Amino acid sequence: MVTLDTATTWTRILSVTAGASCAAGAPGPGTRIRGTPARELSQGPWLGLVDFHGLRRAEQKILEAWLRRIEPLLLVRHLLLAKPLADDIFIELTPQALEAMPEGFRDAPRPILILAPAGRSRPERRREYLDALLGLSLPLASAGSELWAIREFDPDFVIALAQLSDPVARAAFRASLDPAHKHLFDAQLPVAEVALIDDLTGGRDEESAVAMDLDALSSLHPQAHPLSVFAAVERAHNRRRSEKEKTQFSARTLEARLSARGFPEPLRECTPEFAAAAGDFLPAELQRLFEASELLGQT
Amino acid sequence: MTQLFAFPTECPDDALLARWESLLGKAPRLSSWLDETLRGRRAELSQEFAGVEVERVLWTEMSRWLNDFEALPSFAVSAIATTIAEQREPLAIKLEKPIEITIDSPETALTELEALAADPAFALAHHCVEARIRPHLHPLLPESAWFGLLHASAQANPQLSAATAVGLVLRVSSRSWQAQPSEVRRAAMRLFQATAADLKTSESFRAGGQKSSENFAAAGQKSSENFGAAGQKSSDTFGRLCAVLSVDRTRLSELVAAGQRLRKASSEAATLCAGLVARLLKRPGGLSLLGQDGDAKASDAEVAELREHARRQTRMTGYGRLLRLI
Repeated sequence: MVTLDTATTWTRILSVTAGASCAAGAPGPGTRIRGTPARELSQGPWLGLVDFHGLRRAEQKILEAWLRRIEPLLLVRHLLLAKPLADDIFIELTPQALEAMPEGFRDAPRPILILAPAGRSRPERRREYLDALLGLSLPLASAGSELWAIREFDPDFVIALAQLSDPVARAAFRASLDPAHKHLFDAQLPVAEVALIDDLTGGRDEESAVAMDLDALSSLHPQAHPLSVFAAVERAHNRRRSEKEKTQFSARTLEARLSARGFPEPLRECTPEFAAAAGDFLPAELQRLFEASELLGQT
Repeated sequence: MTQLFAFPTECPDDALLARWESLLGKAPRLSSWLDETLRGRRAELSQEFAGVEVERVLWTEMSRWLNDFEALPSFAVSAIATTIAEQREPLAIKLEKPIEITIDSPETALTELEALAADPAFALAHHCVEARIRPHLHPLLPESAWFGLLHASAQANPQLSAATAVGLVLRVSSRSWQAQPSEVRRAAMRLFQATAADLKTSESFRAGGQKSSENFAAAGQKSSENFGAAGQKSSDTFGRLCAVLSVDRTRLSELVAAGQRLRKASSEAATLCAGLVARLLKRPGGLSLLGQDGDAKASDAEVAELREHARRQTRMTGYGRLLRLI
């Protein structure tokens, strides 16, 4: 049992149902790219690794029970879960995932989405993901960093909702609310839970500058996996961001930074051939897309 | 629909403000008309007067309008407001659907917004939007479009912070923009993200391609021999984007400059929000999530600005609770 601050949790529930995200980062199977969910641009379900590192034991326990309950809701969103990651990083599918996975799922490289608690893990944790996944000799992980990425979730909110899925905890929380909000709480809680599950899988991702480049580059390289395209776009955007604004959601970005191969990265001017093939873009958009396209071709 | 509406500053007479609030309470439809009219008048007056003077003139005009409206029954005021709004010139941006909140249930939307606005964290973020972003809105695009574009430009963050609270206010304030066709929103987003260098490349080409190689290099490419093709392409692209939005092409530089100012203002709004939270001794509820150790405290002038703004926001109960914490 984790003590919930009623006012804080209630604010967060309302903010999420009003549209604030509670998970963000790399695309998930539900993220729309060129108007189509990413799952339809890649074959088969994605593998989800929920990282418990940085969560307290009581929180882990609550989250584990909740994940068992909502796992079918993630399955229908094309995300198969492995057992949660703790200190050691390894891949072991859950019993529900083993039952639901398509034939041959474990015999080929699959997109892997690591769901990590925002603000809880150490920066070195990302290196640990990379080292461990690169060291695994499983066919599932054999595509290398090209098909792995991270999506961060708000751990306090997820744990609060997980706890509120218990009828006793829910009744106690409801009793502590302002009477005027009780009816609203009854209506908003299921909405918040659906929003959370959609956010974990990218179903509520919104328009952004990165998303627009993702669409554009995916149109130029329709055969490339959405996570590979995202890796290239993220790196092209990072080149234009201040150090504080840079993101490291793609494993390819992490790999480039950790190996120092990416610094300094040689920049090439957009070629007239690319400009002619790309279509209707402004100069700055074109140069960014050209760089991303070059990065997409690199291993 | 709850209006996120702010009166002009420098009200010369509290009684005048109270009379307007009373009138808007009886005829809520009038507030959207008033909001738009004030924005238009403010843009016109700012060509002639300094900021404080503009606000004084606005209050003088509002005083005159108030006498006229008060002489009518409330249903007539609402009807007049609707008629006036319908007769206004079309917006600079082409909207395929009217600016309406398109949510499944208006009652649900209202309840959500009221409940959210009752939270001091949301009220604080709303103040920061009003204080730092609203003054930079340009009449070339509707308010909801600017708010929507700013929201889409912000980095997604899974946790509630000062920046995400401001982002949420922008999102809630741009519901009608979210209902626009994707093509329109994307064209606007591309113009919003356009850089001064993009514009220079295009404008130099339109002006005959003189002095162009420096501008082209600034836009990310160095080869002046490619300038002609890229300049033409850039010019054509701007033309197409403007056509989608029905924006007057000659005002592109205003649009790009306004976008840059607003992006800076959005960042300042988040800083102000965190700074004001740092001034609070108690941070109940969502306020506890908006500040971090090390945030610079807001100045006394910024606190006074919040108090003054909160005093005028009688419809958002979160302001009252916020004031008690300051």
